[in-house]
Amino acid sequence: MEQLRKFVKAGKAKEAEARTRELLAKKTEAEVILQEALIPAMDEVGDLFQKGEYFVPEMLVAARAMKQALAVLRPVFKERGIKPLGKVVVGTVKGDLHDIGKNLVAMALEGAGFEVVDLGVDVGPDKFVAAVKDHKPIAIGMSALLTTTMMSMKDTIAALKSAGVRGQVKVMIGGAPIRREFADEIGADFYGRDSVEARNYARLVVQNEA
Amino acid sequence: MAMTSEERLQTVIKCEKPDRVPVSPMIYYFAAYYAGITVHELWSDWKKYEMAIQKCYNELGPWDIYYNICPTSPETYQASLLMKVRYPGVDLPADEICQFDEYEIMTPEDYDWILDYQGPEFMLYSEHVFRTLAKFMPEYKNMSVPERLKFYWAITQMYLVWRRHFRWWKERGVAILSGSSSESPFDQFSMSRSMEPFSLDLIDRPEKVKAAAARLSKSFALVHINFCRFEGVKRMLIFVHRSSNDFVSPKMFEEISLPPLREICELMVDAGVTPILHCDGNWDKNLKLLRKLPAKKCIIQFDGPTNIFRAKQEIGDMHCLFGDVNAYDLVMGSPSKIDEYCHRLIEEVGRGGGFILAAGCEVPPNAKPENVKAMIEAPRKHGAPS
Repeated sequence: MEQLRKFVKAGKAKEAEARTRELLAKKTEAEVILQEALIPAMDEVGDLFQKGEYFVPEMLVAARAMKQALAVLRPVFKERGIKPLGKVVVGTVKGDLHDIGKNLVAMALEGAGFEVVDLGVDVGPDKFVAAVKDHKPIAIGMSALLTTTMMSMKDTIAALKSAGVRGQVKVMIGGAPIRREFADEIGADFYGRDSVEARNYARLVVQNEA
Repeated sequence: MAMTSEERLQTVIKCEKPDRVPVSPMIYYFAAYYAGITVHELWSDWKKYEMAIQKCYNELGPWDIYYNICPTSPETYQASLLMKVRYPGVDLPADEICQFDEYEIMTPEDYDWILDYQGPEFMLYSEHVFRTLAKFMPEYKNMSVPERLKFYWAITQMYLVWRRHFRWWKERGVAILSGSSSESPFDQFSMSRSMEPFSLDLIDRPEKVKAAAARLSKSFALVHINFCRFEGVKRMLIFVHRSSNDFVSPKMFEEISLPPLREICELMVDAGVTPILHCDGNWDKNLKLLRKLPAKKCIIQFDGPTNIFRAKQEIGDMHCLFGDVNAYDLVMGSPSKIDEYCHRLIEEVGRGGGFILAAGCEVPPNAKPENVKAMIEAPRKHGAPS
């Protein structure tokens, strides 16, 4: 298990996949592999990122290794009806085509065992509302890179209220022009400076501590 | 006797003390919003662009250095970014700003093409540009000689338009910031490969990325040195935001991005051209490495995430710093908050010289005009650092 953690952390995708198969062959439970190797490895990667020791390329290769290992486990989870930790809907807001931040958040959430519904870019309030109704996520994550588009976050929160679903979901926001005071002003639940903060917040939501 | 704007600019490039800190707001989309025209009109109708930017200068200025950045030519904009640009009024609603489709345009095989290129070295960069553009703009595929010449003429015309346009500013004693602008080769790779595949390239094939960026350095520098000479403005704006610590570690910056960048800067400096590095994002961990660039010959622009006060301590003796009133405050803040921050910048980053006051990156389109005015007025209001 330690070996698998190291492979994921180092971004050794082929080795991570092979080790995962070995562990399954040795009758290690798929859930245990996920909870004791893959997720802790990605947690460590996230911590190293926040400390400034890992950067985006190191995170991405680790995520690639995790994905390849997870691909081995998924059929087992499906067969046994094992569900992800929770569902999070993410999207870049209306009028904004930037997706790097959103993609990094999605990657961090998947690495933590969440199921991510990625709405893509240029996502208007109606689409977020529809996604909340369809997928019943624990949280939505909105990203914006422009001061002109960040105002759409306020519109989305208003739309969630009008649709009567605001209370069902936590709203986290992020992006280069965003500040905590802006999150407070528009009624968002959380402002995350990076993907790891978003992941940590989603965990608090699942644990009913947010 | 007061310095001219050009004297002020030349003084701070040498990291010396001017009579007061010069100011250079990066205004393009804001001009459309302020002047009451659409962004589509701004970029597609030169007369309207001139009207809008001159209105900004006359009503919110004056300022010292004209930051000539408006993307008025789709050909040159896409050629400098090597990304597909979505234009307002064409691909987007008329009042939105240009945005980019970031997807995998370049493939790993394109690094090999650059490395294996056997044609005249001075043509390499242009050929790379055409080849990459052809991947998302079919009209650039297998261009005939007359078609190539038509493209070059479109670029030349744009530069001629800018040269005529500069006269208005020079008549008012305003210095012109740059004669040419482009992403650096390393950063172009990041944009054209798109972020995730390129980040994986830095792990999977770092030597190839480094070699390909290095191979492009000379021809890249030559093209832009010539553009600067043609424009009569011997300063070049080089965008390097994908080399920030938001995208790469300091180790990757030092080993892969910096060597070709340094070569480009040295070639420019040898040709009498000042490199202006547009360092968006967080460069805190790269700051000391910037000391490898030619001393007292470069301008380093920061846009807010980098601690510019720390930059002053770490590289302020070597490089002119430029920035960094942030976009959020220009939109959401107040004139007094802007003035307070500008005063701090003037006192701390302007101390001893080597500083140009500006917004961090562009003035947002929806910035409050009174905030923009407060920023522009700050150097005259506060004078030289105490």
